[in-house]
Amino acid sequence: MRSRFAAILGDRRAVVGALLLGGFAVLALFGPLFVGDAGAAVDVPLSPPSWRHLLGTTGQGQDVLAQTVVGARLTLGIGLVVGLLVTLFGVILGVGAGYAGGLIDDAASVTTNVFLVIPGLPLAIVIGAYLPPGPVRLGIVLTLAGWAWCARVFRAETLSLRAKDFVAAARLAGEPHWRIIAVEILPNMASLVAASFIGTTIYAIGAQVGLEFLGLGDLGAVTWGTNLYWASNDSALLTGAWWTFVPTGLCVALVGFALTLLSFALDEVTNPRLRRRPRRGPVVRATSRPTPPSATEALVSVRELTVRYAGSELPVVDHVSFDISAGEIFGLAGESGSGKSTIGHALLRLLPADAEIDGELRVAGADVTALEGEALRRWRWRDAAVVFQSAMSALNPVITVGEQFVDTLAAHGQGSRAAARARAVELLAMVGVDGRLVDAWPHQLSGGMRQRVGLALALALEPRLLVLDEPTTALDVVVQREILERLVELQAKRGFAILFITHDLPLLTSVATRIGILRDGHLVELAPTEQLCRAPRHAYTRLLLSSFPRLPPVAAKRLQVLP
Amino acid sequence: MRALGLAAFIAACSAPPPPARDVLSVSVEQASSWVRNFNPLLVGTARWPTRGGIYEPLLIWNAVSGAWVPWLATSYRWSDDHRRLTLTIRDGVRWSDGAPFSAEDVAFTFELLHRHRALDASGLWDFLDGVRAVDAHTVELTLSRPYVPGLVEVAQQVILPAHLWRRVADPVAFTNPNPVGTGPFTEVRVFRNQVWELGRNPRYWQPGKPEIAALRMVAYPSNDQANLALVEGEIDWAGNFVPAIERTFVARDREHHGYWFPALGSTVFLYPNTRRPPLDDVRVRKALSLAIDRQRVVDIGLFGYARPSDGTALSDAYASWRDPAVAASAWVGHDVAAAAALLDEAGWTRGADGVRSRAGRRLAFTVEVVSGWSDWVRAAQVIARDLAQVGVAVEVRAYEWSAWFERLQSGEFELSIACPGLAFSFDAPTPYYAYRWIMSSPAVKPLGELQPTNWNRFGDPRADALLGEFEATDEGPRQKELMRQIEERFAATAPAIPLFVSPLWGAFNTRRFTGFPSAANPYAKLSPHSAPENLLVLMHLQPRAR
Amino acid sequence: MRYVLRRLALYAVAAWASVTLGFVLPRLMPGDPATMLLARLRGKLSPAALTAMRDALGFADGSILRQYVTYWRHLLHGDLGLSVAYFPVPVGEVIGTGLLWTLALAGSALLVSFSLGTLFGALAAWRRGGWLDSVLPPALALLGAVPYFWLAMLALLVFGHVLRWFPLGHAYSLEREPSWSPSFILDVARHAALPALTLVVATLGTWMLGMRNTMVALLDADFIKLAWAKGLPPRQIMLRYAARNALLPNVTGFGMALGFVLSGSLLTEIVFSYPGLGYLLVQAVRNKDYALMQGLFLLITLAVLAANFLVDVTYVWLDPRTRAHA
Repeated sequence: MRSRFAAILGDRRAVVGALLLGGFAVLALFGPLFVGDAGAAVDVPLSPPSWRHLLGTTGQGQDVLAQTVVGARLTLGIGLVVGLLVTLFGVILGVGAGYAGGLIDDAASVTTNVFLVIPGLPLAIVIGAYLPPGPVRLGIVLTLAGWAWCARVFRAETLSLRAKDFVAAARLAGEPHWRIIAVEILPNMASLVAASFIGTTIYAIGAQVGLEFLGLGDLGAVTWGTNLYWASNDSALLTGAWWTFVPTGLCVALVGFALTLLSFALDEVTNPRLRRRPRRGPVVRATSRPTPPSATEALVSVRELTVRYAGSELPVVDHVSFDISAGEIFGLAGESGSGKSTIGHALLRLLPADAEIDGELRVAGADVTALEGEALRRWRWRDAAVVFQSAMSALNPVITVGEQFVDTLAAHGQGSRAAARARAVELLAMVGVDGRLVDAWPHQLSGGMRQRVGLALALALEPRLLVLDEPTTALDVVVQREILERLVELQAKRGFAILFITHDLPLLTSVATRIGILRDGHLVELAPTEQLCRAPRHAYTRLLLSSFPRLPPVAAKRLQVLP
Repeated sequence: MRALGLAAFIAACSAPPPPARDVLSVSVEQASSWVRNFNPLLVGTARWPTRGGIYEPLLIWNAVSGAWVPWLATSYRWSDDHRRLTLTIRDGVRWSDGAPFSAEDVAFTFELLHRHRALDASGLWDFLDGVRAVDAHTVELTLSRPYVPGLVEVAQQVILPAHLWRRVADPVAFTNPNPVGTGPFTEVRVFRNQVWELGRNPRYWQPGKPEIAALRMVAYPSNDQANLALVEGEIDWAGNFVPAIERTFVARDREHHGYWFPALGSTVFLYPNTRRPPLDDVRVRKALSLAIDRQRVVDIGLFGYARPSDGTALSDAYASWRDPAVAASAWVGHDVAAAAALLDEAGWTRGADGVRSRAGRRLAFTVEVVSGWSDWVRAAQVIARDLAQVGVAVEVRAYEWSAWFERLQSGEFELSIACPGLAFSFDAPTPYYAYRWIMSSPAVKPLGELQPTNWNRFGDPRADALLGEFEATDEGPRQKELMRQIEERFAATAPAIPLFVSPLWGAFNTRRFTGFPSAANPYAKLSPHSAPENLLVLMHLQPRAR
Repeated sequence: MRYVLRRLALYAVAAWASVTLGFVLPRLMPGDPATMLLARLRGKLSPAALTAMRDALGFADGSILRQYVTYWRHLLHGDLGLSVAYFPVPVGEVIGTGLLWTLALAGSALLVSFSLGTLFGALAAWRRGGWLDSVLPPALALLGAVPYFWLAMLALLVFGHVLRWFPLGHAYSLEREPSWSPSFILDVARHAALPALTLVVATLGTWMLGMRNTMVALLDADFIKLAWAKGLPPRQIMLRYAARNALLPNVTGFGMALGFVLSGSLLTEIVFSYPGLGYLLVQAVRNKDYALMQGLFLLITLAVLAANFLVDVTYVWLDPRTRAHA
């Protein structure tokens, strides 16, 4: 929490917002002590700004500056109190319902939804008609009209937290409910609570000013809303007395602006991805090019590859070199964070823009680091395709399986729609998926099916290199084995090379011909599979080998047909 | 910014056609859209020009000249015992559908009100006993008691066509979409949500009148918009309050723009609830009155347009009734020392916080106002400050109209700002109602029951007797003397605290029409809110020659 | 379809609740519309008239249950009672004068705001840190924080009164007969331009930010990465892969906003003399016109429900996943 606080303070916009708010707070607290009686008529009505009255006078001869300063107190006060109340109600109802579940949750959620569809402003106006005017009425009305939205947010958050392991663990441990809520749930929602408090305060100030402008507030009081009401009532437009409504409107806008800035900053702290870092899609820059293209016969040639992220000293990949021959299955193994996926992504030019790359990358003779724009786009998938680990999220959820083939083929100018569709059916059949599923949506497929679809998709343009980034990790052992068998069979038939990236070294030993071991960005060992299994040279390799049960080789048949 | 460009483009391509030349645009009431309702009997929702445009009364009281103007009736006559009123009905008048108008219609209208008391807003049948058409030109009304002030209620009742309204099953819920009347404007030419037009009645009984082809009502939801339209020349005749009118309106076109704000409106009072101590104490009421600086109230609340009330609380419409001695009496002057002395005398002493108290009770009140009525709200704020100076703590509280009115009627308030009858102006030949509505005992009900008038709940037996005597006479000198005594009672008992006489707002633009009443030519009230007197103005207006 | 049915059930409950709220609220308060109406008529009415008027306003005497049944019966016949403020005009007719105009003004403002905001949001997310992303969000946040009626007053003063680019109020030129002719529609557009613009400016930021934030989160998703790897054209990735998916949560927001169209432009309508429902609602409250309040309230609530349902249906069409769920 402290670091988040520091992060908020580090944000320039948050600082501006906080300073503005602080200024208004000081104004609201102490300003009224200096400006005198805001209600008193002090001069000729509607006098323009002058040294005597810096912001002029109202239609009643009151000092606009005094009115604006005094108005801040009640307006901001009500805004903050309503913000607090709405958030409080929201938390109590949302967390209570979400945590309790069952009938209570059903009832609460129906009530919330009912309140959500009942429009707030009219409700506020209608309820307001029944209560005597004053700040209390405004508070009640605005709270009633606003709590439902808050409650819904907190309920959803509670539901997702309740499903988390640490809450389940606490429940199993028999901790009392209040303690679970207080210790496990609420602290995890702190930034959401803060965000919703800011949001509801903005709402409360806006709605309050709006109601008062309609004359539905307490006209005896001096607030920003009533100031605007009186300005409009005294025909500010007709008399051209802009000074009666411009300062107040600006104040409302500035407070809202300051709060919005704070909520921006808060949003980005909670969700760092929103931060505005310069980024233009996954593009890679090569910072230097040490050697002229090496004339090897390897399909893939990686030389002295070093990847570093902007702002960090340590490279994630440090001077890694290896080759992959055509038709070879090359494995890269290592723990998460070892840099193995970074290498895969670098080969496909999928690293974010703040990644700095040194070294040489060649695939099928092409200098990958030199490709840009349309040339890069056209190169992709033709020579090198990829299958990601997360089959669940690698397919676009809103278009059908077939469409994802069609757009891929179309992007590379391959045939008509009908032809592309036929090709998709064919490809699906190749990986053992019923061709009728071409019209299915991704969510309708099981994990294994999706991974097969991913494989089929990767083979659509018959690439010479297939990068498999943890392709089977999320699958159960049986499915994993089926897919691997299918993969090895296809590889044998079509002769493409595979870069197989996984943390599961034993699995790798059952499919790969050569294996590289990565640790902290360094390639610590590179050897043919047999040699690596038999006599691992590096202690880390031995450790990796021993940490998983051995599997019998998948590809015994394949090894026999290898020339 | 793209949107702005597009908008500017649209703005450039369609300019609206100009309004027809001989159609008079009027701004009377505020609305965002019009709803078709021409039922003239519902006081709450029927307005001019339905009353006093489409439908006409028997006689019109011209408050400016102080005389009855014969209209659908040519004359009236009281019987000697003042229990029978005979009206002679005008000959040669036709309904706009061509049917002849007769005494039958008059009798029918009064009978209709008897059958549907919901429509009898002015309470005619409180004093009427019967009505009958003696012949085609004569109607005779019998009264249950001598009640001379009732003449104005009878005279200004608009008359309906019996041949059509006889067939209306429920006149209370009848919106009368296609009205048939005797008035100068009867043809609904256009009715849209933003604008409607009422065309000339081709069969109007005054030859050659009206000279205007039609009245046009444009919907403006607030004063501000109506004022903008007035300043822009879209409106010819307006009854809005225009702030700083010399600068904002007249200065724009001195030749054509004019206004007249005569002090002919209702008197606005600070109503004390005399059933709630210590407001039952006349010394307290008078002290409140003395503490108020009425000139400041008027200057700040009404931009100086109104006139502070004198001791009789009568508007200029009753100038001839005003007793100079009462008018000049001190109780409505601004005298802080006298106010303090009265409070001291009543036993209210100042505490440490400057607020007076007696036996542990603080002298603190709430003043209730209507939240939309900004002039009164401002007046209340000035009053609150004035009263604080003499040690009376006052809080101004603004309510929505309906809530405020309910509290006023049921006696839940302590102090409230209002004017009798809540009308812009109530025009009667005598100030009888003006006083009856604030100091007549029979009208006073217990707190909590709705009180239609006399919201201060004050009764004075001597005033009752005087008012009773006044009801039974129509001799000028006798009436004057009785009224003088009533005025004295008013000043002595201070049943309510008069603040100022409302001006009647009225502004006009003579670019297209001439003949508006003004301070220079005061033949009738200018304000279009003063139906049925508006009929007099409609007869005078002429389109400018092209 | 079970999903749709479940939503329908929720809406039925919500509709019932708001109808009942409309029944309960006025009855909780001291005084009833009949008394109120009579008060307007200066309260000189016989008990018979009072009863008659109560009946006319749907406040028939009898047990609360019987009143409730009567209320529903009237409602199902489309009878919303008689307005007090515009007595004796039926509430339906009063509402009819403003409904279409509010729909047109606020509806088009919402459409413009939503489309522009979503587009800007998508572009800002796509070029995160670009000028659009650096300039627009704070600028729109400032504009969004401005009370929109204040903006409306300012716009009216500057563009209407001083520059005279736009009319000062109303929904169409007074001389024109409403019709579907192009010139009339243009006239309506001219009148709606300024009020709609203030509404758009005030709400644009919300849409833009919502879209931007969802889309930024999505841009790191695997299927976007895969789309790049597949060599799809960037425009296709932005629209079909990123924006299309990021749109989903915003559509829900659009649904909510669609429902609030009828009430959302209330203050703008008042500033611009726009003949919509906003002024009617304020008028109803000022006059304690329960019947009109109920009618408007009901209409607005039903509109929200209808809009939400519409969005649910659209959502099913937009997001295939909902079709399988529930």
